[in-house]
Amino acid sequence: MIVFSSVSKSFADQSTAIVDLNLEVNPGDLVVITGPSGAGKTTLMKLLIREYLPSSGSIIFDGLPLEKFKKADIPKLRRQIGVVFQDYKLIEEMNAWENIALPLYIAGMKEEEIEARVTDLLNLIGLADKALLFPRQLSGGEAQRVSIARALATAPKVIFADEPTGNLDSEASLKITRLLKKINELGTTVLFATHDEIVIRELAKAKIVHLNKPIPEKKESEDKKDEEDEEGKKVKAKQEKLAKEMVEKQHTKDKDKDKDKDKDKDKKEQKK
Amino acid sequence: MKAINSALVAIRRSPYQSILTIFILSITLFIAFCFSSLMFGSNKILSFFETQPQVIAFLKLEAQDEDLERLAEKMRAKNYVKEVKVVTQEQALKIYQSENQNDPLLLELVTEEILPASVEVAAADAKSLDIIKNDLEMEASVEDVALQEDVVDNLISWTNAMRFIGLFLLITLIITSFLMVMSNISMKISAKRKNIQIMRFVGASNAYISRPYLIEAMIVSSIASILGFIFYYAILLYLSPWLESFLTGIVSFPIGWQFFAYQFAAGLGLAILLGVLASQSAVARMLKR
Repeated sequence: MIVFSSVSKSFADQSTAIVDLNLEVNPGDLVVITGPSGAGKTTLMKLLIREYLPSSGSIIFDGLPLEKFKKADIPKLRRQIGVVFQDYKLIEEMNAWENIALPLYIAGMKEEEIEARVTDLLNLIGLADKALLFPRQLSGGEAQRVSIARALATAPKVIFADEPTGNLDSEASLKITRLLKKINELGTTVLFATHDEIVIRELAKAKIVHLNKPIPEKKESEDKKDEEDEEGKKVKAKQEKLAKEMVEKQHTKDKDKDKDKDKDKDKKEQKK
Repeated sequence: MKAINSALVAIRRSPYQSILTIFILSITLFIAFCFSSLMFGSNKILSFFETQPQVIAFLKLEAQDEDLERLAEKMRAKNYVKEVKVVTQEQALKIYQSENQNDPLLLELVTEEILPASVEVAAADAKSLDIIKNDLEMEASVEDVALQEDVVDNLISWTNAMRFIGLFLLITLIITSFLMVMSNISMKISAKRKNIQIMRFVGASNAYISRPYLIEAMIVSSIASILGFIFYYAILLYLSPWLESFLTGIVSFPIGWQFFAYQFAAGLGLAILLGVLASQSAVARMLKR
């Protein structure tokens, strides 16, 4: 269903987000994508919805290479991929009901169908009684559930949840994780990007893909600079060693002088 | 969401920006309505003067009535001649007497024999005046030819100047209004950038995103057009008595409703076109970023 073949993504500022990623996701899979911050989880999502194009390699969605999608067809692709964001990305001026209905209006569905679909989704996420509340009136967990319902609205083939529990406490995180697990059990392919240990433990049976933070490549000039730094460090260490030795020598000399003085004093006293 | 509702909400939520845009657009359309009326009026005045007898050929005193009729017929046959009027010596005397009835001395001195018969020719257009003059001068029975060229020339140059100044003013105002609508919509889009990004992520096309802004511009333009027309019509009603006396015989008052209907429709069309083009430019520019 989704195939990433040797996908790399680097940006204009020379930073690299993904290096040579190979990943295959089959229909109905639940894939957990883990990795530290900066490992490229969000970049992976943006590559999948064709917000970005890969620097090299290819991505195939439903048998079609994404790079061959025309600009005008990108909205259609995005209607097949529901995205859940860490910061929910709900429209503040719209209430929960309107936020969930938004993709349906965009898809041009009839009013009655929208009504029925949004009601079903509100029941699924357990927020039927909060349909008319605005995002600022919802808790983090509730807002995230609305975001999941919005992602599900157009019955997409895939849901990409990008750190959906990142802003939630452990209890809310578990609820969201279980909701996404349930959605997966109902047949939707779910890609779950997270680095939350609780979530990973909860989804232990899922296919787990670990993304590593790419090591930035050094330029020739940087290598030279490092060599120079290394030499500098050596010189500095030598200088410090020498200084220490000199201080110690001085110290022992002073001690010897003191001892000599003491001896002279003793001799004089003995003579007296 | 319903695009019209979104547009109305956007207008309600930023009333001052919308009022400013409506105000500027109303002024532009008011000037456009005034300019179109001015053009209509000046064309009427011009055509009035153009249709007046413009070339007068005075015949020799020894010329016979047959010569007069022959010349008149000859001129009528030409396609660039609109009207030919014959004034015999008798009629000339009568005209002279009516014009100088308060001066008996002048009346006593003048008899029918010393007043020449004449042929007054109106041209189909101002450009034919010289041709008509040449035609008449070539006639053997004609003593002298008088041409009211200067009056028409002055009128044409005045009309052209008015057209130029009016057009310059109108184009300046149209550009100002265009930029006004564009910056207003740009500001609104800029404020909603986050929402637009979310909409894109959930599959909204550029057309879907831009639709409410286009409708908003159309609503604002329509309101501006109506206000501009009301203001223009009120001023026209106020000036009607003066205009009626000034344009007696040239424009008949009251002016027919059809004229105003066409004028309003054209103004509305212009306003909507302006609004749509400006908002489309703003949306295209902002969506590119």
